[in-house]
Amino acid sequence: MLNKKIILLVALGVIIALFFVPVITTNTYYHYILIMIFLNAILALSLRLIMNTGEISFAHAAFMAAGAYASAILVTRTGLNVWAAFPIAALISAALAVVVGIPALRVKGVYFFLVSFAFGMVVVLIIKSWPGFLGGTYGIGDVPQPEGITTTGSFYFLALGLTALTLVVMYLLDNSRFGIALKAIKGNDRLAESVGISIMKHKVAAFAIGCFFAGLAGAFYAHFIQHVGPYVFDFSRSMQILMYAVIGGTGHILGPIIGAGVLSTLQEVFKEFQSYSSIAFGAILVLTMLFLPGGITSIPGKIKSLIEKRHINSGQREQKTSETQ
Amino acid sequence: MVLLEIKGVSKYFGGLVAVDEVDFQVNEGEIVGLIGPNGAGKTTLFNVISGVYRPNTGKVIFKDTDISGRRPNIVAGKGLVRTWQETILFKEETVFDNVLIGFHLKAKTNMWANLLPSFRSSLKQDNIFRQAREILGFMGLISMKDELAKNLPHGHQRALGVSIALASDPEMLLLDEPVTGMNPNETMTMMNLIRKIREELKITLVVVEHDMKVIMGVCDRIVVLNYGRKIAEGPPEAIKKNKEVIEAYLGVEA
Repeated sequence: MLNKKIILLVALGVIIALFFVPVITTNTYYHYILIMIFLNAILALSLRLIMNTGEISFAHAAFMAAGAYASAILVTRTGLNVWAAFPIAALISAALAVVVGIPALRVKGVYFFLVSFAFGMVVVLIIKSWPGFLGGTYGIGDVPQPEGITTTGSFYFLALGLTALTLVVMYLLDNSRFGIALKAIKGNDRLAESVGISIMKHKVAAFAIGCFFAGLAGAFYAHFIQHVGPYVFDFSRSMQILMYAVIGGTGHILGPIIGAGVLSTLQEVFKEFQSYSSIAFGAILVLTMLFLPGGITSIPGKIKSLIEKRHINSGQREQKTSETQ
Repeated sequence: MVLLEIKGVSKYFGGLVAVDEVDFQVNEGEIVGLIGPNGAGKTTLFNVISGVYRPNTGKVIFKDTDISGRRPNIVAGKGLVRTWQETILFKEETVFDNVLIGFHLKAKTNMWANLLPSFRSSLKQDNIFRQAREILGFMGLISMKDELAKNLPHGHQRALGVSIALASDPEMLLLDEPVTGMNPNETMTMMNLIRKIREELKITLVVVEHDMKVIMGVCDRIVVLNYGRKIAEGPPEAIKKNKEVIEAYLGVEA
C-alpha cells in the first residue's frame, strides 16, 4: 500500500530530524522533555504489543520498576557495568513477566486486567516494605550513569536510539507470523485456537516481549534520573502508559508514539495546573473511548471514509437531478 | 480404516449429564451425520472431540492417538479441525487474510523466521497465496477475497468459516450446523460443497445439523443422540424408519 509507505517514510524522516535536535538547540530543558517523551513512547509501544493479544495490562509500570530496580541494584551492589546491566535488567523483567503471565493469562478480559492491576499494587508494596534490599520508600540513590553518557544531550541520543530500536522490533513483530497470530487471537481466540494457534504460548510470549522493553525503559530511567523510588512506578504511571497507547491508537504502530508525544507535551505545557491533570486526562480518556475508539491514528481513515461517503451521496444526487431533468 | 474412535465418552456439567457413554467410529472417507433433538448433546460431543472440553469418562482416539482433553490447537495440529455453530470469523480482516490465518500451522517456519516480517513474503514463496486462492475458488468466494469478512452475506460467511478450516490442512472436518440460517439456495450450495470436500479433497467429515434434508442427502451413516445417549446408528434409510428415532423427534403417542 502506498499510504503505508508514505507514513513510514514520514516517520523515518521525523526520526532523522530528531537526531539533529541537540544541534539546533542546546537548551537541556527541551532535551529533557523529549527524553521523557521517548521513554513514554517505548513504554506505550511495548504495551501495545501486549494489547495486540486483546488483553490490557495495568502492570506495565511494575515491569518498568523491575527493570529499573534490577539495573540499579546490579550496578550499585555488584559493580556491574551499566551497559551490561541494561539488557540483563530487561531480561529479568521479561522473566518476571513469564512467571506472572503463565498463571495470570489463564484468565482474560476484565479479569486479567484486575489481576495485572493487583500485581502492580503488590510490586509497589513489596518495594516499600523491603527497605533492606530495595531501599523502601526512599528508594535507591546514586545510581551511576552509563560510561560515556553524562550530559542530558548524550542521554537524548541514547533515549532516541532505544526508541528507534523498540519501534523497529515492534514493526518487525507486527508483520511476522507471530504478529499475525496475535491479531488472530485478538480477532477471535476460539477460532484462532481451532486452526492451531496456541493462545497461551502467544499471549505469554507477547507479554514477556512487551515487559522486556518496559524493563529496558526502566533501566534507562534509573541511570538517567540516578534514583529509583516506589512512587514513580505506581498505578498512575500504568494508567498514563495505557492512555498514551489508547489515545494514540493501538491499531497503528505509530499510535502509541503519537499518543505519548501529544499527551506528554500537554502535560508539560499545562504543568501549572498539574493538580487537575488526573481530571483532565480522565476526561480525555473517556471522550476518546466514546468518540474515537481507534485513537488519534484512526482519524485519517475516518476522514477518508467520510469523503468517500459524501462522494457517493453527491454522485447519487447528481444522478437523481439528471433523471428528473 | 478407522480414523476417529469415540469410546465411552461422557461429559457432565455439575449434575447434568450432557453426553452419556457414547461410542462410535468414523472411517476414513466417510461423511457421518450427528443428529438429535435440541439439547441431545451434539455440540457438547463436538466440543469434547475438538478439545474444548475434557471428557469426564472415555477416550477420543484420532489416528490411533488418544487426544482426549488435549487443547484445540494441538488437536488441530493432528489434522482434526472443527467449524463453529455461530458465525465465528476474523470479522475485521479481509476474506483473503482470514484464509491466510488459517494457514498458521501449514506455514510453520523456524522460530526466528516466525518473528520476522519476511513471513508474508515467505508465504508467497511457499505458494500459500496460491493455495489460499485455490481454497477460495473451491468454496466460491474468490470474487470477494478483498471484502471485509463482516460485510459478507450470511451464506458466504459460513462458507468462509469452512475455508479457514480447510486452510489448516485437516484430514477430518467437524462441521457444526453448517447450513443454519441459510436459504434453500445457499443450503444446496453448501450440500454440494460438503460432497466436493470429500470427493476432491479426500477429507473425512462429521456433520452436526438440524436440517434433515441435508443430513439425509449427504451422509453415508448417521449417529442419533437423545438426552446424551446414542439411540441409533445406521445409513439414512434405516434411520428414517427407526422407531426410537421417530419417537425421540416426535414424542410417543399417548
